[in-house]
Amino acid sequence: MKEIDFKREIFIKDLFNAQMILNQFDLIHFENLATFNKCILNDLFYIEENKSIKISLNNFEEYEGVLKIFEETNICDKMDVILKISKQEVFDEVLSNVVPKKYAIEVTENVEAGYNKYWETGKEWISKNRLVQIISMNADNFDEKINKTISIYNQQNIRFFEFDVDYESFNELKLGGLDKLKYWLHHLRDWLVYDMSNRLNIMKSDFYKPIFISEDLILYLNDKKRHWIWACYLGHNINKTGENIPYKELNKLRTYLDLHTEAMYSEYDVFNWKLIDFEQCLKMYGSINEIPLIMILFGRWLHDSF
Amino acid sequence: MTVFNIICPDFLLTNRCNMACKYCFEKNKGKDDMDINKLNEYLDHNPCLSTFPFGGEPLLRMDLLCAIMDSLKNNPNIQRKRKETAIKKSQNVITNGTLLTDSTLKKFKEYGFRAQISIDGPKHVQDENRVFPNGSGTYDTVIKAIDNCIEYGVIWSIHGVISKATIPYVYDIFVWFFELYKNKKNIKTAIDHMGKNTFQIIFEQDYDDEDVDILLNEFHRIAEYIYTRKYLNPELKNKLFDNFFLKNGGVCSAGTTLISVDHKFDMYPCHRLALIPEKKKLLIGNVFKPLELQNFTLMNSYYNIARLKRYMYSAVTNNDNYKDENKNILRWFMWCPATNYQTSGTVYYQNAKYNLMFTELNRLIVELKKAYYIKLKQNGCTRNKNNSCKR
Repeated sequence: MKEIDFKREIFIKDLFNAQMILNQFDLIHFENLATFNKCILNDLFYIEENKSIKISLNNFEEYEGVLKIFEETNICDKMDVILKISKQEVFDEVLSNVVPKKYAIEVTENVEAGYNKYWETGKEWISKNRLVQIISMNADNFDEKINKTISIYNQQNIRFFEFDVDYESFNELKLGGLDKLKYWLHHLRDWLVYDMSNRLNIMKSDFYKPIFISEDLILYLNDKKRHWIWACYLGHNINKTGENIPYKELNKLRTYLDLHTEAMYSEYDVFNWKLIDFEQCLKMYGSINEIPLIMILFGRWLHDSF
Repeated sequence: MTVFNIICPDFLLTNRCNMACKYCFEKNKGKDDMDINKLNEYLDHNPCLSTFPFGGEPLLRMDLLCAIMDSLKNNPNIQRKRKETAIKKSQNVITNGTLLTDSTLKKFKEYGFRAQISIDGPKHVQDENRVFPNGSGTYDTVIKAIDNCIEYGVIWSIHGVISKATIPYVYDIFVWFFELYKNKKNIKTAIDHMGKNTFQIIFEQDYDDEDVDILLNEFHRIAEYIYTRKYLNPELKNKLFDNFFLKNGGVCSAGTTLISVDHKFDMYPCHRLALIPEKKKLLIGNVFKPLELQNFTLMNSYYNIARLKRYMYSAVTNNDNYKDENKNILRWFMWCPATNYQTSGTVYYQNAKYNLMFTELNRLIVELKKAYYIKLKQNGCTRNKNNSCKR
């Protein structure tokens, strides 16, 4: 046979390597500190620039453990670190013990996190870092929640919000309901934009893929941990390669891992990819690649266009 | 009577099959056939542009095949020219070939059917996977069927499948197909047919790197085979190379103009999805209840692929980004939404292992072309593959 200039460049065995999975996502959300430590111990995660990590803290001891990591590594300098807190007492203690490092704190809706309240204790930290309030809403309460957002903005001086929207609940909404949603999102937008400051309050975000990893090392599309929608068992496959992991399991992971904007189908351009919940895409449309119209509308009405 | 009008209904005439191929995607085969009266009733109200009979083994219900053709011919609601096209398009019958007996072939001749016979290659390859329920090989029966077609003057073609188990025989398979066409038809037909999806590799298997290495080596051997045939002139060698190595795949119209209808007249986006165990959640509706359609999200996915963006992706390559140095898209592999769904859970994502194997194969083909392709010179000009002159 004739000699040809050809050498294999890519290999099936490299299609899966547990140690290379997590860092391919833009945001890695660890269920708790123990999960973070387990990932470090198994080389599943390494510190890398321009990536974000989020650790959910369930008690103050976990926060102390996190501070130890901050001391011993350069993680705060290299990565965007977010600590997620869902208990008021943990948040109160954390904010009383902030350290002069770069890390954001994100609190769930049940936690009252006003800047004013903590200005004295965490002054230095607050002036340099983000305190993010998560607001959860659905079709039944979006008006109330948007109004609440404006109140928190006005009264507690919070500047960073993240919306956790149950888009599926909007399935039942009629046209009048959609008009109401549009009104309230415009109302919110007007408060944030005209009030002052800058339009950056309504952020735009490029394509962005988060992943959640549970304590038993299972990957989920978000922290709701609904394994019947999408789950990949990283812990069971730590020593596997692309050759010996079954193709269905491999493809389920890679469908999301390899996802890019070209492979996303939507009626209109997406302004803020952080408002896109891939798990809900999968649940509502049966495909991670299709963005339900309500997600697009939500983003666009919030962003002043359309 | 109101029916759901489908441009190209893909009729699953029967679930039954007289063979038991080891790699068949149709697990738990039933024993159900389409009801001929209901079929006629449906066809009377749906003046389709063509139909595509499928199974199981469609020749087990030759009467249904003929009924479809009669309905097309006799339907007064179809305009004459459109009817001619519809009939011509509907005459292709995919069959395992084992039932192409004298009586069947007489009907084939009468109705102008063309037999697309499934055969995987030489005896040791065919009998590896394509067997009767008792485990015995089908090679001899199918070869006899081909001879029968020739005897009756029925137009036939052969198409095969390569599985993980038969990758080591890809070279043998190529040579066998080519030689069979050459001997039973002629060289020109043999060359032409090698560009018509003569055989393809199964999507849904766990390929490994050894499979890839073997496949690449087999393709290299095929290039060598083509360019060492003394009876082929340089132009024909290049043509055969082009036909086989650079053949273009495409995206079918399943789920849009073509919708599969099973024996209960339930609809699915394509025949493959109508036959897999998880079919229940893929049901669109029943042709006789057009106002009760469901699963629109799945249909939208198909519509997105077949009619709008036509974009599918995978670990290494998407369906339109692998190009050679002349920007020609190389697609030896196929992009099938249904097998994507089966292997990854979404119609948009191709099995990563398959994708990687064919990305490497396409890279190899670029190098094979550089090494083997013969530059043709005629009257002082060099002709490219489209036969246009480059001075």
